[in-house]
Amino acid sequence: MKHIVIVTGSRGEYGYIRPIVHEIERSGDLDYSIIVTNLHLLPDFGFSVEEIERDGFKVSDRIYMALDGYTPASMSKSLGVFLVSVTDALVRLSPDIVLLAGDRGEQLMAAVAAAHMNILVAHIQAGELSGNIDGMTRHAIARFAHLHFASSEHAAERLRRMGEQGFRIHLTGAPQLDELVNGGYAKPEEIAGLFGLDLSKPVILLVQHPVTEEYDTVAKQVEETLAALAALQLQTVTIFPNNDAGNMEVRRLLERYRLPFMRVERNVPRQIFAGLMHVASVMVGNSSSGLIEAPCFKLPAVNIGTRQRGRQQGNNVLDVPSDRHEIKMAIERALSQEFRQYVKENGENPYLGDGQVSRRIVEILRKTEVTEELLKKQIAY
Amino acid sequence: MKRILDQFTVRVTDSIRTAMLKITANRCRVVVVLDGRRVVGTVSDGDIRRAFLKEVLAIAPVEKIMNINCRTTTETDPSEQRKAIIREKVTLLPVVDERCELIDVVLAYEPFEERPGGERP
Repeated sequence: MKHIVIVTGSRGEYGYIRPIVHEIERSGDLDYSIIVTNLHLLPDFGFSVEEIERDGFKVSDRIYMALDGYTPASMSKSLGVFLVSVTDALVRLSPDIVLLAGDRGEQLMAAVAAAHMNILVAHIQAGELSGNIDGMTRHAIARFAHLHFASSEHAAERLRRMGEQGFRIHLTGAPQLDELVNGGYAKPEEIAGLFGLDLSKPVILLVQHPVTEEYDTVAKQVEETLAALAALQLQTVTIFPNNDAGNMEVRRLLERYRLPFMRVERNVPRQIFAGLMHVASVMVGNSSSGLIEAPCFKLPAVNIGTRQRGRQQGNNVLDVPSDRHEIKMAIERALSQEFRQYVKENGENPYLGDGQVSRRIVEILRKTEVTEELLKKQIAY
Repeated sequence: MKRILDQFTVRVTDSIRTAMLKITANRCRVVVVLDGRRVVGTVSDGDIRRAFLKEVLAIAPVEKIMNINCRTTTETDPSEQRKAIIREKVTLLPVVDERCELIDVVLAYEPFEERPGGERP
């Protein structure tokens, strides 16, 4: 039986892999192990390994990697810790395929380890453009990956242009949309109860991550967003950012300058987050979910700053610089009847999501023979 | 009558043990966590129990385990406050100003009143 190892370190990519693990379990002829690391193991970030176990999945390894401090240097050093540990886990598990997702450093470390150990590397959400270090990491993973699963034609084309051989590239779509398309999210009443929301009034969903290259101005960026929200006085739910450099600052500011109409949470299960998107009137911040998931709900998104720069986006997105007046104006525009109607009619999702993406990916994994041709890569253009 | 708030609050840097002592003394099963005068969370009996199950130590700061998605009210009218605490289904509801600074707390019941049935749990 083919054995697939999956690595997850943050709630973002867990959204990609969850529907896939369900598919693998259903397949009957594939086995899997999940290596859990980074944010999933940190109480400050919600200890979301519990969510994975609640889903009934097998966690084979828990690898602690995050050095405290959350500076650019501690981020880099933490990745080194993970590279050492994941190598040992791969030796022991001896998988046929390592399945990775997204653009985070721990995924790149797993790609480096697996490729060196002659294990087939498959990469979900490959070839997309994302900003800053994440974008560099995503394309670095592609160099170490033997199979690419692209979520849009744009992404597939980018992989080809970067010298990846055509037979390795599969246009499958974005698996994290499967559950949304199939209605796998919490009901509005549950969301209203959890966060004390009055759903007859506008709801803002805020997710603002630190931008690692802009480490020095992180505090200023959060202040600008909070100032815009303070001026609007609308009920707001905010979920804490990931643990990239600068996260402590963001969390401290969100905690300290929260306003009475703000609900703050460290981490929420995926279906609750999707449920929040479902009831929200506008999404604000710099999370990729404003670009990829929000269109499924025809949800307007105010995208702040550079984090998602260049990434493919639909008509639901309003790009603004990190400036309180611009943010406030964009939120007001997003909340207007006119813009909401426009998104309703024209807010097509640029990412492929037909509810069948994970099934397609698992089918390819099932059929793939791990051959020498597949393992020996030529990067040429 | 304005309450003495100290028995219902801990500082964000206080230990879990300090919160346990306060909760034991105030008989409300919960304390409000303050950063300066701002409300940043609450810690309940249940939060502490769940933290211990995750092997968090009693000397850890309450910040690590507090419920940051806590309910507050800005109502100043007592009857509106009463409605709010019933709506939110909590035993203690912090009353805050527009800066989220603590002004008072509303309790679901008076912890030191005689109640039929004798001893409190």
